[in-house]
Amino acid sequence: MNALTAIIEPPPSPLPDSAPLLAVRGLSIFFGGRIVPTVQDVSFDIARGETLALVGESGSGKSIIAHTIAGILASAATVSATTISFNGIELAGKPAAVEALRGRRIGMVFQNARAALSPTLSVGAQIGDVIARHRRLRRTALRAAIVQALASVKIPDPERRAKAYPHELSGGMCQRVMLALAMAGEPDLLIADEPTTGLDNTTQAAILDLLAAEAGRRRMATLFITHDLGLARDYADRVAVLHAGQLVEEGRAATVFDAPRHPYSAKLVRAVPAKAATVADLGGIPGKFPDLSGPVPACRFADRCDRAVDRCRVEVPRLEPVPPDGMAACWRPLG
Amino acid sequence: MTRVIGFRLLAAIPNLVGIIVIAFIVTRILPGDAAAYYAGPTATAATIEETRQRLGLDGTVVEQFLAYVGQLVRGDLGDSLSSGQPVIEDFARRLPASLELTLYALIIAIAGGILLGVGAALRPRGVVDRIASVVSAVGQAVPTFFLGLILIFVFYYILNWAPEPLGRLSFMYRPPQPISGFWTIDALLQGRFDLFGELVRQLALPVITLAWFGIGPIARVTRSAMLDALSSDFVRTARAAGLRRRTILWRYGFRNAVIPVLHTTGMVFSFMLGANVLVEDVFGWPGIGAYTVDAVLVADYAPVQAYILVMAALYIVVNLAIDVVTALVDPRVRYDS
Amino acid sequence: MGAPARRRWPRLRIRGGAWSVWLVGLFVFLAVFGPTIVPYDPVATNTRVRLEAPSWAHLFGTDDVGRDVFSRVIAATRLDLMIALGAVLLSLGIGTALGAAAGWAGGWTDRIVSRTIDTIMGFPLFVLAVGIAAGMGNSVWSVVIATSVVNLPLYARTTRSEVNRRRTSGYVQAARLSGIGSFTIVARHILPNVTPILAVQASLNIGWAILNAAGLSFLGLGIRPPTPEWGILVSDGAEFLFSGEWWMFVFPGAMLVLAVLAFGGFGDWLRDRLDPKRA
Repeated sequence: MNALTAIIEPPPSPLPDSAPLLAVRGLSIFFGGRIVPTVQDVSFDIARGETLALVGESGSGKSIIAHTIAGILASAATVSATTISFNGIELAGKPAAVEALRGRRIGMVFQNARAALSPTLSVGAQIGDVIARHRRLRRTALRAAIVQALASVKIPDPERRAKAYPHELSGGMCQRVMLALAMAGEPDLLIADEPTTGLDNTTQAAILDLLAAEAGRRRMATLFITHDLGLARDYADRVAVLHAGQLVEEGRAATVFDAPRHPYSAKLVRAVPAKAATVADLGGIPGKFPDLSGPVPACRFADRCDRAVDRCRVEVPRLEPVPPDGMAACWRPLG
Repeated sequence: MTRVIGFRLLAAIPNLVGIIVIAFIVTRILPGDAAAYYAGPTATAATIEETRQRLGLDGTVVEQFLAYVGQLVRGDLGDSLSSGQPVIEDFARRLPASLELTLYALIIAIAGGILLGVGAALRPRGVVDRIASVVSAVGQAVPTFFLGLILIFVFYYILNWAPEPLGRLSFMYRPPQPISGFWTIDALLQGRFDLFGELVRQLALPVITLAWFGIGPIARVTRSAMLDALSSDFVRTARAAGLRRRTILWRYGFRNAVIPVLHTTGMVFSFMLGANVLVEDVFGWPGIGAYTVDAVLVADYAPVQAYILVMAALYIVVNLAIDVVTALVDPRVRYDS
Repeated sequence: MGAPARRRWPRLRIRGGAWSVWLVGLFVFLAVFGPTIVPYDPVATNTRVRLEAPSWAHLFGTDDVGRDVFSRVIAATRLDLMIALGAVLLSLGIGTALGAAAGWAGGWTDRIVSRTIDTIMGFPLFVLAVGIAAGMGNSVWSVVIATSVVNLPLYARTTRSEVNRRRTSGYVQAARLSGIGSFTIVARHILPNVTPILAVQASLNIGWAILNAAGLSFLGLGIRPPTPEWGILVSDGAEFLFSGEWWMFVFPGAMLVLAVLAFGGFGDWLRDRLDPKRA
């Protein structure tokens, strides 16, 4: 993470400061020498035991934010942030600090678990590598720990499955393996990057229930990245809505869904007809995603917004508290 | 695993048959009367006829082929006219010299190619990448024998670092007692370390010449396979899990890049078996390649026939070994057969 | 072990530029006019100028019997290029025919051709070339044929798979239904699609053929001295390396390198022009 000193003025700390586990302030990410940041001035908190869903269309920058926090972003990117503070430790511009936390205090699971596991090692060996990295164990103890880890994610017959290779397991099983792998370091924060994309609905629910149970049991914070609004509503405590690299609304999941304040969130919510709809098949939002290789309006939603005024195109709206208990970045919020 | 080996051995049988057929055909395209030729220059009409019957040359082509196969089954590769010995004995004596040269070259090509390739993948367009492309470009444009001669000229004639390029060991030294036939290993086994050093000095230039041509392709394939592996989802997972850099690079990156590298190694080995003849010729190396070339030049054909058979058989063995290692590394391959 | 798809050398990375076209032009010029423009008779001996180092009179020096090395190296261009070109054209012609027959007819024809090709590839190629050249005795033809046989698989395989792929395509079916003969369909309607790929393969192959032929004659197979040929010249010159007369082996060797680079670059240049989906 190649952090520069923040060039964007920090917002006047409107977020509740009950010593969150993770606090991100003024995070901007630039790609390949572009002038327009791909992620612009994003701030959010996650408390212990809390699940925050970061919701947005593909290309909105949600995965990039996750990778930045974990310090595994491609080197072509330039990151600037006022603060990325984890449990009081400053991570912005300190690759070594992130390195020390990654895999231990911060765990991560990805989508498409089968491709995210090495095809030439048994799943037990891969979990063993992670356990051995964090704990000094003898052979037999390590084997027991591997079986234990697989059992903890409800994999049936864990002793036999430990010897299996990813191609021998179903997608859901691979996702459980990856969850076990992320949990091996007993993290305080789990970053789940679209963990159930590509799985069928039953498996999806099983995995997320498991994840929620583990998080609840261990008071683990979860940053849940998804484009699936239904899942965000069902599994997250709070929701942050991202549009084209800008955080437009943030608040309790129920509030955001029942009474969205930002026009974009409102359109998202309205576009969800049934429980399982996803942003991917939204038909209802006019206009297209702004092209970040050229100049964009200050509020990047302005060109798609029917409430936009001149000010929206020249002055970036800040996240401000909106009643009852959320925040929105909009000059003309709803309600 | 035994199943894999069994399958591959079965699959190698048609290849072996084809190879024997071609070796047979190569001798049949000899101009003139083969019987007169095999009977030797002092033959009379009677001895020619006797030879014809002895070699089964009076039968049909099919009978002749079966006779030839029968010979092979008995381990008879014919007699060399020039040495007067059974070819199989001459080969047995000289094969270790060829193998020692070729296997050391292969090891160096693999090690050098992999290190250069991994280094190049870690920093594309970096110094290692540049070195790898120069080595590779030279390997593609410079003939084997010419590179050998240049190395001799520079390191023996001008700098005088290398010993005289005439065989495995200068006549001033007594060779080790043959145990494995690999003199370097035999010298170590007998505790003759000064001799070992001398053998290594003698091996250096021919091994480098032969290895050079393998380093380029192996480095290139390693580089691209490593670039693919390092940008894969599973390496991202390994990084996110906080594994050590070394573990990520080799256990997660290289392990998944190794299969194309292995296949290139098979190709490189094939090339080395061919180039071996040239290198032995240039360095006066007493292996089967130089022996065969000497035989050809005096129109002694039994060694040639034996030579292409032995080389093709070696190639089959190495490919088999590569297939087995592939199956060991990649569990998915095990189910393909 | 089937037939692992190793073998072809990954090709020269030096981008094929105009330089290679000029260089190939120069080699062709030397092949045509070389023997008539060289300053000395390439085979005439002159014992008064034995083993002279390079000078203005003898740019590349003289050999042990006083022949001018420059004249011999230039005069050898024709033979080396003709061998390489002959071998490539031969394997191109026969390989394409075999591949087309196998790909079109399928069945036993295909099985026999494919088996033969696999068997050829079961040998280390240079070893097979040595065997063939040895079996055929001392003539230029034995080098040409040895070089072309080991290259057959390259052309046969490409043609076979392309013909096979297009055999069932709509336009071929249409041609068949309108009563056009098999030979005409293959020759007129299928092979032209393969031509660019084959042309690029053939031009990249020439450099390899030069190396192969030079290697054989370096060993003393096929062509005999005093015929000027690069491999033989290097081999002859190598005997004088130990007494320091380097020019006898360095110049013909350098000429070989230059020729291989030129044709390799030319092949790349051609591929960039024709761009047959990176054959």
